Amino acid sequence: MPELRAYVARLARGHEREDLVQEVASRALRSAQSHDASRPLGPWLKRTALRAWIDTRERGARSPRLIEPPEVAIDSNELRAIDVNEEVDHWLARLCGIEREVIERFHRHDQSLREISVALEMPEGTVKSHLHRARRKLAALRNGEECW
Amino acid sequence: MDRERAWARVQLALDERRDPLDDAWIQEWFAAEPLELAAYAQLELRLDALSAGVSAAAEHAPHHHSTTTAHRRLVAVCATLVTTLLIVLFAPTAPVAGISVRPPGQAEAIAPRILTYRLTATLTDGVRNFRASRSLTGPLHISDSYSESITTTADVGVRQMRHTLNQETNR
Repeated sequence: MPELRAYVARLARGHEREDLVQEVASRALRSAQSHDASRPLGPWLKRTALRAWIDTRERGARSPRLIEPPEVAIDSNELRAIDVNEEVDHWLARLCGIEREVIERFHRHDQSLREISVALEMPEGTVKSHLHRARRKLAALRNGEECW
Repeated sequence: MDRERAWARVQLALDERRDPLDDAWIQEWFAAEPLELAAYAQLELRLDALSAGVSAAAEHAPHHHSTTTAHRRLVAVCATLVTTLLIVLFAPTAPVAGISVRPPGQAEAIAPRILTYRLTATLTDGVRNFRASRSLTGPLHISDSYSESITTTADVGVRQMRHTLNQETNR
Protein backbone atom coordinates (compact mmCIF):
# COMPACT_ATOMS: atom_id res chain seq x y z
CA MET A 1 0.00 0.00 0.00
CA PRO A 2 2.74 2.55 0.76
CA GLU A 3 4.23 1.81 -2.62
CA LEU A 4 0.86 2.35 -4.26
CA ARG A 5 0.41 5.63 -2.38
CA ALA A 6 3.83 6.77 -3.49
CA TYR A 7 3.01 5.90 -7.07
CA VAL A 8 -0.36 7.63 -6.98
CA ALA A 9 1.25 10.67 -5.36
CA ARG A 10 3.14 11.16 -8.59
CA LEU A 11 -0.07 11.13 -10.59
CA ALA A 12 -2.40 13.24 -8.48
CA ARG A 13 -2.25 16.07 -6.02
CA GLY A 14 -4.21 17.06 -2.92
CA HIS A 15 -7.58 15.43 -2.32
CA GLU A 16 -7.47 13.85 -5.77
CA ARG A 17 -4.59 11.74 -4.57
CA GLU A 18 -6.60 10.16 -1.76
CA ASP A 19 -9.60 9.69 -4.05
CA LEU A 20 -7.39 7.94 -6.56
CA VAL A 21 -5.84 5.67 -3.93
CA GLN A 22 -9.32 4.65 -2.82
CA GLU A 23 -10.45 4.12 -6.38
CA VAL A 24 -7.43 1.94 -7.14
CA ALA A 25 -7.92 -0.09 -3.97
CA SER A 26 -11.58 -0.55 -4.79
CA ARG A 27 -10.84 -1.65 -8.35
CA ALA A 28 -8.09 -3.97 -7.21
CA LEU A 29 -10.45 -5.68 -4.79
CA ARG A 30 -13.19 -5.97 -7.39
CA SER A 31 -10.95 -7.45 -10.05
CA ALA A 32 -8.50 -9.35 -7.87
CA GLN A 33 -9.31 -12.57 -9.71
CA SER A 34 -7.99 -11.09 -12.94
CA HIS A 35 -4.51 -10.83 -11.47
CA ASP A 36 -2.18 -13.65 -12.41
CA ALA A 37 -0.72 -14.77 -9.07
CA SER A 38 2.47 -15.88 -10.74
CA ARG A 39 3.24 -12.30 -11.74
CA PRO A 40 4.25 -9.45 -9.43
CA LEU A 41 1.47 -7.38 -7.95
CA GLY A 42 3.20 -4.01 -8.33
CA PRO A 43 2.89 -3.54 -12.10
CA TRP A 44 -0.69 -4.78 -12.00
CA LEU A 45 -1.57 -2.21 -9.36
CA LYS A 46 0.24 0.53 -11.23
CA ARG A 47 -1.65 -0.33 -14.37
CA THR A 48 -4.88 -0.21 -12.37
CA ALA A 49 -3.84 3.20 -11.02
CA LEU A 50 -3.15 4.52 -14.51
CA ARG A 51 -6.49 3.21 -15.75
CA ALA A 52 -8.26 4.80 -12.81
CA TRP A 53 -6.45 8.08 -13.46
CA ILE A 54 -7.48 8.03 -17.11
CA ASP A 55 -11.08 7.15 -16.31
CA THR A 56 -11.30 9.87 -13.66
CA ARG A 57 -9.95 12.35 -16.14
CA GLU A 58 -12.46 11.27 -18.79
CA ARG A 59 -15.29 11.60 -16.31
CA GLY A 60 -14.17 15.14 -15.54
CA ALA A 61 -13.99 16.01 -19.21
CA ARG A 62 -17.48 14.65 -19.74
CA SER A 63 -19.17 16.37 -16.85
CA PRO A 64 -22.73 17.22 -17.79
CA ARG A 65 -23.58 20.62 -19.13
CA LEU A 66 -26.95 22.26 -18.72
CA ILE A 67 -28.71 22.60 -22.03
CA GLU A 68 -32.23 23.36 -23.10
CA PRO A 69 -34.40 20.27 -22.74
CA PRO A 70 -35.38 18.87 -26.13
CA GLU A 71 -38.95 19.41 -27.21
CA VAL A 72 -39.36 15.84 -28.27
CA ALA A 73 -38.14 12.72 -26.61
CA ILE A 74 -34.96 11.50 -28.26
CA ASP A 75 -33.18 8.28 -27.55
CA SER A 76 -30.16 9.34 -25.53
CA ASN A 77 -28.12 6.38 -26.78
CA GLU A 78 -28.74 7.49 -30.33
CA LEU A 79 -27.68 11.03 -29.48
CA ARG A 80 -24.54 9.78 -27.77
CA ALA A 81 -23.68 7.72 -30.83
CA ILE A 82 -24.17 10.74 -33.07
CA ASP A 83 -21.97 12.85 -30.78
CA VAL A 84 -19.22 10.26 -30.83
CA ASN A 85 -19.42 9.90 -34.60
CA GLU A 86 -19.28 13.63 -35.12
CA GLU A 87 -16.30 13.88 -32.84
CA VAL A 88 -14.51 11.04 -34.60
CA ASP A 89 -15.18 12.59 -37.99
CA HIS A 90 -14.06 15.96 -36.67
CA TRP A 91 -10.58 14.86 -35.74
CA LEU A 92 -10.22 12.30 -38.51
CA ALA A 93 -10.71 15.18 -40.91
CA ARG A 94 -7.63 16.79 -39.39
CA LEU A 95 -5.40 13.93 -40.37
CA CYS A 96 -3.82 13.82 -43.78
CA GLY A 97 -5.31 11.40 -46.28
CA ILE A 98 -2.90 8.50 -46.01
CA GLU A 99 -2.70 8.77 -42.21
CA ARG A 100 -6.45 8.68 -41.96
CA GLU A 101 -6.65 5.66 -44.22
CA VAL A 102 -3.97 3.74 -42.36
CA ILE A 103 -5.31 4.45 -38.89
CA GLU A 104 -8.85 3.54 -39.93
CA ARG A 105 -7.70 0.30 -41.45
CA PHE A 106 -5.68 -0.62 -38.38
CA HIS A 107 -7.91 0.53 -35.54
CA ARG A 108 -11.36 0.49 -37.06
CA HIS A 109 -11.16 -2.47 -39.40
CA ASP A 110 -8.58 -4.42 -37.41
CA GLN A 111 -6.37 -5.00 -40.42
CA SER A 112 -2.82 -6.09 -39.72
CA LEU A 113 0.16 -4.01 -40.78
CA ARG A 114 0.90 -6.62 -43.42
CA GLU A 115 -2.63 -6.50 -44.80
CA ILE A 116 -2.48 -2.73 -45.00
CA SER A 117 0.91 -2.92 -46.62
CA VAL A 118 -0.44 -5.22 -49.33
CA ALA A 119 -3.62 -3.25 -49.83
CA LEU A 120 -1.87 0.08 -50.14
CA GLU A 121 1.12 -1.33 -52.00
CA MET A 122 3.68 0.22 -49.71
CA PRO A 123 6.34 -1.27 -47.43
CA GLU A 124 5.28 -2.25 -43.94
CA GLY A 125 7.73 0.25 -42.50
CA THR A 126 6.04 3.06 -44.38
CA VAL A 127 2.66 1.92 -43.13
CA LYS A 128 4.04 2.01 -39.59
CA SER A 129 5.42 5.50 -40.09
CA HIS A 130 2.04 6.81 -41.23
CA LEU A 131 0.28 4.99 -38.43
CA HIS A 132 2.64 6.34 -35.78
CA ARG A 133 2.39 9.85 -37.11
CA ALA A 134 -1.41 9.62 -37.10
CA ARG A 135 -1.39 8.43 -33.49
CA ARG A 136 0.96 11.21 -32.45
CA LYS A 137 -1.42 13.72 -33.98
CA LEU A 138 -4.42 12.20 -32.25
CA ALA A 139 -2.56 12.41 -28.97
CA ALA A 140 -1.68 16.03 -29.55
CA LEU A 141 -4.62 17.45 -31.50
CA ARG A 142 -6.81 19.85 -29.69
CA ASN A 143 -9.95 21.44 -31.03
CA GLY A 144 -9.23 23.84 -33.82
CA GLU A 145 -5.75 22.48 -34.42
CA GLU A 146 -5.00 21.73 -38.04
CA CYS A 147 -3.03 18.97 -39.66
CA TRP A 148 0.68 19.64 -39.80
CA MET B 1 15.26 11.27 -25.31
CA ASP B 2 13.10 9.45 -22.80
CA ARG B 3 10.04 10.97 -24.40
CA GLU B 4 10.91 9.53 -27.80
CA ARG B 5 11.71 6.20 -26.25
CA ALA B 6 8.49 6.14 -24.24
CA TRP B 7 6.29 6.96 -27.19
CA ALA B 8 8.14 4.43 -29.32
CA ARG B 9 7.26 1.79 -26.73
CA VAL B 10 3.66 2.97 -26.64
CA GLN B 11 3.49 2.77 -30.44
CA LEU B 12 5.07 -0.68 -30.45
CA ALA B 13 2.55 -1.96 -27.90
CA LEU B 14 -0.32 -0.53 -29.92
CA ASP B 15 1.11 -2.03 -33.12
CA GLU B 16 1.10 -5.40 -31.39
CA ARG B 17 -2.37 -4.72 -29.97
CA ARG B 18 -1.08 -4.86 -26.41
CA ASP B 19 -1.98 -2.51 -23.58
CA PRO B 20 0.93 -0.04 -23.30
CA LEU B 21 0.12 0.42 -19.63
CA ASP B 22 1.26 -3.14 -18.96
CA ASP B 23 4.83 -2.07 -19.67
CA ALA B 24 6.61 -1.40 -16.35
CA TRP B 25 8.95 1.11 -17.95
CA ILE B 26 6.04 3.05 -19.40
CA GLN B 27 4.27 2.92 -16.05
CA GLU B 28 7.19 4.66 -14.40
CA TRP B 29 7.55 7.15 -17.18
CA PHE B 30 3.88 8.14 -17.17
CA ALA B 31 3.97 8.57 -13.40
CA ALA B 32 6.88 10.94 -13.86
CA GLU B 33 5.21 12.75 -16.77
CA PRO B 34 1.49 13.16 -16.09
CA LEU B 35 1.14 15.50 -19.06
CA GLU B 36 2.29 12.70 -21.32
CA LEU B 37 -0.18 10.40 -19.60
CA ALA B 38 -2.89 12.93 -20.39
CA ALA B 39 -1.83 12.86 -24.04
CA TYR B 40 -1.90 9.08 -24.00
CA ALA B 41 -5.35 9.15 -22.37
CA GLN B 42 -6.58 11.36 -25.18
CA LEU B 43 -5.09 9.06 -27.78
CA GLU B 44 -6.67 6.01 -26.16
CA LEU B 45 -10.04 7.69 -25.95
CA ARG B 46 -9.92 8.57 -29.63
CA LEU B 47 -8.75 5.14 -30.71
CA ASP B 48 -11.55 3.57 -28.69
CA ALA B 49 -14.06 5.88 -30.33
CA LEU B 50 -12.60 5.09 -33.73
CA SER B 51 -12.84 1.36 -33.28
CA ALA B 52 -16.30 1.50 -31.74
CA GLY B 53 -17.88 4.30 -33.69
CA VAL B 54 -19.67 4.32 -36.96
CA SER B 55 -18.24 7.07 -39.05
CA ALA B 56 -20.26 9.19 -41.36
CA ALA B 57 -17.15 9.94 -43.34
CA ALA B 58 -17.56 7.04 -45.74
CA GLU B 59 -15.82 8.96 -48.46
CA HIS B 60 -12.71 8.78 -46.33
CA ALA B 61 -13.05 5.08 -45.75
CA PRO B 62 -10.44 2.74 -47.17
CA HIS B 63 -11.02 1.59 -50.72
CA HIS B 64 -11.76 -2.02 -49.90
CA HIS B 65 -14.31 -0.83 -47.41
CA SER B 66 -15.95 1.43 -49.96
CA THR B 67 -16.22 -1.49 -52.31
CA THR B 68 -17.77 -3.78 -49.77
CA THR B 69 -19.98 -0.96 -48.57
CA ALA B 70 -21.18 -0.31 -52.10
CA HIS B 71 -21.93 -3.98 -52.45
CA ARG B 72 -23.77 -4.01 -49.16
CA ARG B 73 -25.68 -0.94 -50.20
CA LEU B 74 -26.80 -2.59 -53.38
CA VAL B 75 -27.97 -5.58 -51.41
CA ALA B 76 -29.57 -3.31 -48.87
CA VAL B 77 -31.42 -1.27 -51.46
CA CYS B 78 -32.69 -4.48 -53.03
CA ALA B 79 -33.66 -5.64 -49.60
CA THR B 80 -35.45 -2.37 -49.04
CA LEU B 81 -37.50 -2.85 -52.15
CA VAL B 82 -38.21 -6.45 -51.28
CA THR B 83 -39.09 -5.67 -47.70
CA THR B 84 -41.24 -2.74 -48.63
CA LEU B 85 -44.56 -4.04 -47.62
CA LEU B 86 -47.64 -2.46 -49.03
CA ILE B 87 -50.79 -4.14 -47.93
CA VAL B 88 -53.84 -2.94 -49.67
CA LEU B 89 -57.06 -4.29 -48.42
CA PHE B 90 -60.10 -3.84 -50.50
CA ALA B 91 -63.55 -4.22 -49.09
CA PRO B 92 -62.86 -6.21 -45.97
CA THR B 93 -65.44 -8.39 -44.36
CA ALA B 94 -66.47 -5.71 -41.93
CA PRO B 95 -68.20 -2.71 -43.41
CA VAL B 96 -66.04 0.34 -43.63
CA ALA B 97 -67.33 3.85 -43.50
CA GLY B 98 -67.58 5.33 -46.94
CA ILE B 99 -68.05 2.04 -48.69
CA SER B 100 -71.53 0.77 -48.92
CA VAL B 101 -72.07 -2.94 -48.77
CA ARG B 102 -73.90 -4.00 -51.80
CA PRO B 103 -76.39 -6.74 -51.66
CA PRO B 104 -75.41 -10.04 -53.25
CA GLY B 105 -75.99 -10.10 -56.93
CA GLN B 106 -75.23 -6.47 -57.46
CA ALA B 107 -71.54 -6.89 -57.62
CA GLU B 108 -69.83 -4.18 -59.61
CA ALA B 109 -66.58 -2.41 -59.78
CA ILE B 110 -65.71 -0.21 -56.83
CA ALA B 111 -62.92 2.25 -56.61
CA PRO B 112 -59.93 0.74 -54.87
CA ARG B 113 -59.15 2.41 -51.61
CA ILE B 114 -56.32 1.90 -49.25
CA LEU B 115 -57.74 1.13 -45.89
CA THR B 116 -54.58 0.37 -44.07
CA TYR B 117 -50.98 -0.04 -44.90
CA ARG B 118 -47.68 -0.35 -43.26
CA LEU B 119 -44.50 0.58 -45.06
CA THR B 120 -41.15 -0.40 -43.65
CA ALA B 121 -37.81 0.28 -45.20
CA THR B 122 -34.68 -0.96 -43.53
CA LEU B 123 -31.19 -0.36 -44.76
CA THR B 124 -28.34 -1.90 -42.84
CA ASP B 125 -24.94 -2.28 -44.32
CA GLY B 126 -22.68 -2.25 -41.32
CA VAL B 127 -22.00 1.42 -41.74
CA ARG B 128 -25.44 2.80 -42.05
CA ASN B 129 -28.63 1.93 -40.37
CA PHE B 130 -31.70 3.54 -41.79
CA ARG B 131 -35.17 2.61 -40.84
CA ALA B 132 -38.44 4.20 -41.70
CA SER B 133 -41.87 2.93 -41.01
CA ARG B 134 -45.30 4.31 -41.29
CA SER B 135 -48.81 3.15 -41.00
CA LEU B 136 -51.96 4.86 -42.07
CA THR B 137 -52.94 5.89 -38.61
CA GLY B 138 -49.64 6.12 -36.83
CA PRO B 139 -46.90 8.71 -37.03
CA LEU B 140 -43.94 8.38 -39.34
CA HIS B 141 -40.94 6.89 -37.58
CA ILE B 142 -37.55 7.45 -39.06
CA SER B 143 -34.18 6.68 -37.62
CA ASP B 144 -30.97 7.12 -39.50
CA SER B 145 -27.64 6.72 -37.79
CA TYR B 146 -25.68 7.64 -40.88
CA SER B 147 -25.44 11.13 -42.24
CA GLU B 148 -24.18 10.60 -45.76
CA SER B 149 -26.99 11.03 -48.17
CA ILE B 150 -27.89 8.30 -50.56
CA THR B 151 -30.26 9.02 -53.37
CA THR B 152 -32.68 6.22 -53.66
CA THR B 153 -35.53 6.28 -56.04
CA ALA B 154 -38.35 3.88 -55.78
CA ASP B 155 -41.16 3.89 -58.24
CA VAL B 156 -44.31 2.34 -57.06
CA GLY B 157 -46.77 1.61 -59.79
CA VAL B 158 -50.40 1.68 -58.88
CA ARG B 159 -52.65 -0.38 -61.04
CA GLN B 160 -56.21 0.32 -61.61
CA MET B 161 -57.95 -2.59 -60.01
CA ARG B 162 -61.37 -3.89 -60.38
CA HIS B 163 -62.88 -5.91 -57.70
CA THR B 164 -65.95 -7.94 -57.97
CA LEU B 165 -67.84 -8.94 -54.95
CA ASN B 166 -68.20 -12.61 -54.45
CA GLN B 167 -71.75 -13.39 -53.64
CA GLU B 168 -70.83 -16.17 -51.33
CA THR B 169 -68.18 -14.50 -49.30
CA ASN B 170 -69.16 -10.88 -49.84
CA ARG B 171 -65.53 -10.12 -50.47
